[in-house]
Amino acid sequence: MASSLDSSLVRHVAHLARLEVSEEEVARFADQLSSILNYMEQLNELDTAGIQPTAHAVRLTNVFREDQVRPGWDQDRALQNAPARHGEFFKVPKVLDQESA
Amino acid sequence: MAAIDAIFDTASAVRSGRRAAEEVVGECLAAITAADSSLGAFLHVDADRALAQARKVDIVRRQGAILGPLAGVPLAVKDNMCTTFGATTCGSKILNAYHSPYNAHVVEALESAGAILVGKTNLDEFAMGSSTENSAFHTTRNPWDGARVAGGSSGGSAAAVASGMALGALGSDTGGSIRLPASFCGVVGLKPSYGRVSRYGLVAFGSSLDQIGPLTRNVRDAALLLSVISGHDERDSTCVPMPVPDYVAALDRPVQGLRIGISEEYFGEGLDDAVRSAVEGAIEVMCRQGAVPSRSTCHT
Repeated sequence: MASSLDSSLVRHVAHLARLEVSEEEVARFADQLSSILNYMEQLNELDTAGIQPTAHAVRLTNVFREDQVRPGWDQDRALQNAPARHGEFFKVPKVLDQESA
Repeated sequence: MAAIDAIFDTASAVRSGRRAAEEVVGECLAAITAADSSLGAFLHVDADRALAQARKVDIVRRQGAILGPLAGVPLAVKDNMCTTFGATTCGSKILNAYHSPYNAHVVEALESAGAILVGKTNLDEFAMGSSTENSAFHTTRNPWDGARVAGGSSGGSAAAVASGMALGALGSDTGGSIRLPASFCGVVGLKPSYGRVSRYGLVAFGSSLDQIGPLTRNVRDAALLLSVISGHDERDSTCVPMPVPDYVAALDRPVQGLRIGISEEYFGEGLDDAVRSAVEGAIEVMCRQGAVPSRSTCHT
């Protein structure tokens, strides 16, 4: 079965990733992404009926710890790489009044 | 190149007082000063910090305290492992000014074993590459032949160890980044099984594949470094809670009956004759001592 990505899906993905793409690029990426998906679909030709699923090489489930209060970093240490700070906070460019997602 | 001391011998010489840590560390720093402007193995060297720590080891020894298994041993770590000294750049100008607020698990482990970190080694940017030509800062050259690459992405670590600028180093391996440069520079490199070594403080490339491992001048040193960095760390949830065997002691076990998988795919077209005969020679040595070769192919 051949997969294909239509141009509206490419535009949606580009929007989610905050990428600006031209109409030409939308067409090109739709082609390229479709051919990648088709390549991966070769896996569907394999008969995996009798094969145990392997999600991960390491057999670990539910790695939890007790929810205990522990000492953390002080604010100066946590903010030491901040390009700009406002008192005890990271200062970042305003993003919320742009086109809403 | 002059003979370079093994980690194992150096650590025991420092523990017994036959050698001062300050002198051992000073030798590596001198090697860096002499050769690194042409090799480019390091992105950052902190000589003052290394010498101060070495002096501390010597003082502790004179006071009669018990020293760790790597006391006074000058080592280097790849610059995608977080250290509170110097920057942690991953070979990228994006992180040019990033100063980690914490140390990676492996850095804590090496330093609590007494090792002296002389600096941070070069890599392909964010570990994505196989030659260490793709660092944003400079290319690392092969110590055996400056016209050749050191391999990558842990090329700085491999070149530093091959040239005696550190007695051992750590690299990280996602798809060959320890094994390739180790092979290119003629040192031992080991990618541990996934989950053996905590990735806490390793800047991720492929989180389900990344592992940190040693680059050393001999197998015994690799076993020693592996035993120090291995083990459970709850800060990496994929790190396995299994006991760490005595890797150094395990080296004395015979290979009699050991089954060695040999995949035909590695011996295909384009394989250099010198490489083929070296690998075949190693298989022969193992088999003469009783190991059993098991040749297989992925094609069915």
